[in-house]
Amino acid sequence: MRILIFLLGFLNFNLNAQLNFQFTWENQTIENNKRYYFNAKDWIEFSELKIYLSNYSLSKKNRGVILKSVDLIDNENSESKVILDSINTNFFETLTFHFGLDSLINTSGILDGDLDPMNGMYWAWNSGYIHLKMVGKSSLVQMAKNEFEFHLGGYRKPNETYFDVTLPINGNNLKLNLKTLFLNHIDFNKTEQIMIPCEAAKMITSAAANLFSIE
Amino acid sequence: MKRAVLVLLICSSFVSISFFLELTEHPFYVPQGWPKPIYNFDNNPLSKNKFELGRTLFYDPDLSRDSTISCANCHLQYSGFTHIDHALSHGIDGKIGTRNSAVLINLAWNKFFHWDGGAGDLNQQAINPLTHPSEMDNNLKEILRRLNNSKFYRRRFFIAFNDSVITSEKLLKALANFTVSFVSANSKYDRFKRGEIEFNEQEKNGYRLFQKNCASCHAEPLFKIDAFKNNGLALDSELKDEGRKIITGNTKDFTLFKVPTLRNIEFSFPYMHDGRFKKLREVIDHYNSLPKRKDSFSKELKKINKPFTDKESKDLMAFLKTLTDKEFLYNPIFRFQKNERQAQEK
Repeated sequence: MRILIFLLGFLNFNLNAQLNFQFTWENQTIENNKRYYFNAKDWIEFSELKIYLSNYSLSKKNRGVILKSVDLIDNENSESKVILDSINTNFFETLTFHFGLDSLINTSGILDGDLDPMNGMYWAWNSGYIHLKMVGKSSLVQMAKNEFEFHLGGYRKPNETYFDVTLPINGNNLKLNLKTLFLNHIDFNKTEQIMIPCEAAKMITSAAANLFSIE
Repeated sequence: MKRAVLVLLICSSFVSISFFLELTEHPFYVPQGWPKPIYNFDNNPLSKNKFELGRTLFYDPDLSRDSTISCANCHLQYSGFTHIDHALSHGIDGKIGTRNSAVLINLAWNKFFHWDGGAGDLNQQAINPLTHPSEMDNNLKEILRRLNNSKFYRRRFFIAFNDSVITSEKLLKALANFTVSFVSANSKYDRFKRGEIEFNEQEKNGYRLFQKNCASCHAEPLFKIDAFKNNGLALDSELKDEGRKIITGNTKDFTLFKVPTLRNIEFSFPYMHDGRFKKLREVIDHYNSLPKRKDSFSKELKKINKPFTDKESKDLMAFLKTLTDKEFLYNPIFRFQKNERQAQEK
């Protein structure tokens, strides 16, 4: 009976029940190639925002259901931003997932769908996936053209960039607040480009892991 | 009429046999007494059709940006699938890379690929040479565009995967289905171990020296371990190749390189990650120079406290040559099948 009630949780009480992903600039949803402001004068814009999330599971009172295993979200592709569809989010209490891909997925040799190396999230020379890609411009970048490029990834210790995230479900949008990330954890005076697995990539992604919320 | 058809059938089947070698089954096998392969076959089940497709792709220069070089340019079968006689392999436009191309032998038992172990999976490995600017310098989108535009390949992928839409996954899995089958386990050494033949005195002594001094890294029966070591080579001042450190970022991995297999070593010259030694004797001489050196290299080599005598060096080389597996190096099933395309396009 309890199992039945549990399964009923999946039934679509709310027809629009979806869980969607959003990159946010505080309270604004980020769109590519639009300006967002740190303060009255300094701005940032993103031309590419992509992120891997994996191993989603929903739970209520210590009972969980494992859902989608790998999810590539591209800010430019609205379909990719639908994380879970037809799920009664009100029924479940928490969502757990991996930000990034663990070493098992990175070395699985599965190369289709969201893991297709053609998605532009794959390193061939140091094979593995970029877990968070953020490319754009900012007035804070002192270099010519104001460009920044962060390819943050890697699964090998000690610079692994995948993290467990567990969040209470308080809404239908899973958000990652990039304003806090750029304001507090990225110093454009020190670096505007990361293209390899390294300590700096780990620091930024571990900070980002704490900036998710479901609202 | 019936008879004519029959004759025609016999003729055409004869013609196709003479054109290219068709297999009855996938040639991969696990030699007796060998460890369990590391490669995940569940993820890419072996099939003779995928093997044959992988072979066609391996020899097809159309995979490179300007359609000039194929995988086989740097991986020739009769040298153990490496780039014989080239210290640093050259790819597209004659561009020289920074490393000696690796042998492709017994890949199903490899945990790491490339000298720095940058690739951890055989399926993924091929993306690097296909896209590297000094190797084949293409990109997956362009390769897939070319393949999907080819009626020949659409048909071949359909035969292999039951689907004629060509994706990066299918391309890489077909290649891996071919390369994973490079099993070399029929050298003089193997026949000796199976009790089929005897070693001569020189080989016996070389084997004894090998087991005592070399086998901790070049462990039987694969003649390698899945590890990265500093074997005492001085850093090349021009290439400045940091080896494994490039991948891990860890200073402890500075100038560590993957331990290669010694199987077919007689024909896979030049040697070392940068191909600095042309002759086997130079390799032995390098190891002979280590006991009096005080700088840092792997602990396994530190244990060797005196150089081999000239006789011992020769005995050791005699043993190393017993690792040559001519059956593998000249196996016709791995060869370029000259008229395969024409035969199938008919």
